[in-house]
Parts: sequence; structure tokens; C-alpha cells
Amino acid sequence: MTLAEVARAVLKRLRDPEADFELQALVRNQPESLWLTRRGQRLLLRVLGAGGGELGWDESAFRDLDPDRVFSQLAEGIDLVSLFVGGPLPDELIGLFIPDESGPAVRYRAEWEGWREFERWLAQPESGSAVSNNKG
Amino acid sequence: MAGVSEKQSKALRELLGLRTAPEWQRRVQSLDRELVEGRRPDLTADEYEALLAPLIRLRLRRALMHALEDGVMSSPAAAQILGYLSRAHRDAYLEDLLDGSLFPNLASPDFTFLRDIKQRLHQDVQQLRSAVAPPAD
Repeated sequence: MTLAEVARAVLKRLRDPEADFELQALVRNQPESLWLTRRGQRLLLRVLGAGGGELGWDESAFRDLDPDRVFSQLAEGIDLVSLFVGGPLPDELIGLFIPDESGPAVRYRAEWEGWREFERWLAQPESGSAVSNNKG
Repeated sequence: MAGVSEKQSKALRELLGLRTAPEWQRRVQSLDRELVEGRRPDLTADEYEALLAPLIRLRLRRALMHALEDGVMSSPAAAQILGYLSRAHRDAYLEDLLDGSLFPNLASPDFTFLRDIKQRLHQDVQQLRSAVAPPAD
């Protein structure tokens, strides 16, 4: 999947073509993590260093990968995917997403224990019920 | 005090919302919750060693967000935080922002809010240290 394909699939599941979201992928044994942010029509892929600083792609541990397909290329190595959205959420996603307390802004977070699991959720029909893999 | 510009505020909100991998650890989050709720944390010496840095980072992140939302962050401080974190080197840590030897201007009036945060976090560290269970015989 390219970044645009990931974003399209997320928006489809959220049933909101205009939704802003943030997606974080944690890679096994890797202190650096990947963040995909959608703001308006803009998609931004960032690498966060171990201490919270934003790294340039060429300085990051992922520099040898194709940034546009990095999630698919790393798929088996990704052991946590978190998706943050502002809401409101479709009824069937309430329960999967929980309020996130990492900052004063209200947002909701859902987690999957791997990229493949996240892909399966993305591929579910829109009317499907929420999966039960939320770690709370 | 010059307030944070809208552009700075937007960039900071985005950047501070990005947690590092260790901050997601369940144990880090449960210790954070205990501190937030005023409960006495219960942790081992090994946990203290392993989890202190991400726990303090998580709490610093939230405190900075609140400072931003409450309008007590100055524009020079916002610029310093953004500058340090947005073009970071691999060894840059959020908690470095509290280090007066790295940032001597921490003593200036523009950074009063950050000194207050540092003091609160210092109290957290003391509380966590005092809560460490002695090793079992």
C-alpha cells in the first residue's frame, strides 16, 4: 500500500472523506517510529527519534526503504499501530476508539497489534462491526 | 512576555502529540495514571531504572501541551522547543529541554513556566524514588 492508499482506506473506514488523522507505527526493536499525518488534503510522513525529536528520512533507520511504501515494506516488523482521530465517529467504531489522554485536545485512539491486523480492519466492509482488538 | 504565534502553536501541538515508543508501554501509562490521580505508585527498582525516562517524557509532553493551551508559554520558548525537536539529531530527547547546561536561557523570565514544570517533575521523580520497593531478600 502506498501512503495515499492507506489514507484513502482509513477515510473510508471512518466514513469521513475530510477527516484528519494521525497514524503511528512502532517497529519491533526499533526506537524510532513512523507517523503518518493527514491534515486537510496534505499527507505527511515523519520519523520520530527515540527521544521525541523529528528526524530527517535520510538520517533515520528507515532510510533504505521507499517512504511511499514503507508501511507495507515493514509490515511484519510493525508490532503496534495506533490511529488517532478527532471524531465524531461512526457508531460501529465507538468502542474500538477510546478517548486519548495524551494532551488537552480531545481525540480518540485505536490500536492494532501489527500492520496485517490493521490492514484486515481497513479491508472490512464499512457496515461491519468494530473489531475487538482494542487494548484499551 | 511575547505570546506564542498561531503558527508556532499549530506546529507545537502537532509535534507534542507524537509520543515515542516507550511512552506507550502499559506500565508507563499506569504509573502516569497513578501520579495523575494522586495515588502512591508501586514499582520495583528495575522498573524505576527502565521506566523513569519515558514516564517523565510523557508527563513533560502533557505539561508542555497544557502550558501551550493555558497561554503561559512564551514565543521564545516555543521557538526553542520547535527548533530543538523539529530538526532533531538522533540523540535529542524531549527532556533535554529542562537541562540548564544545554539551554542556559532556561533561567530567563521567558522560561518561568518551564522551570515550574521542571520543579513539578522533580517532585514526581522524588515520589517515584521513594516508592521503589526494597529488593526481596
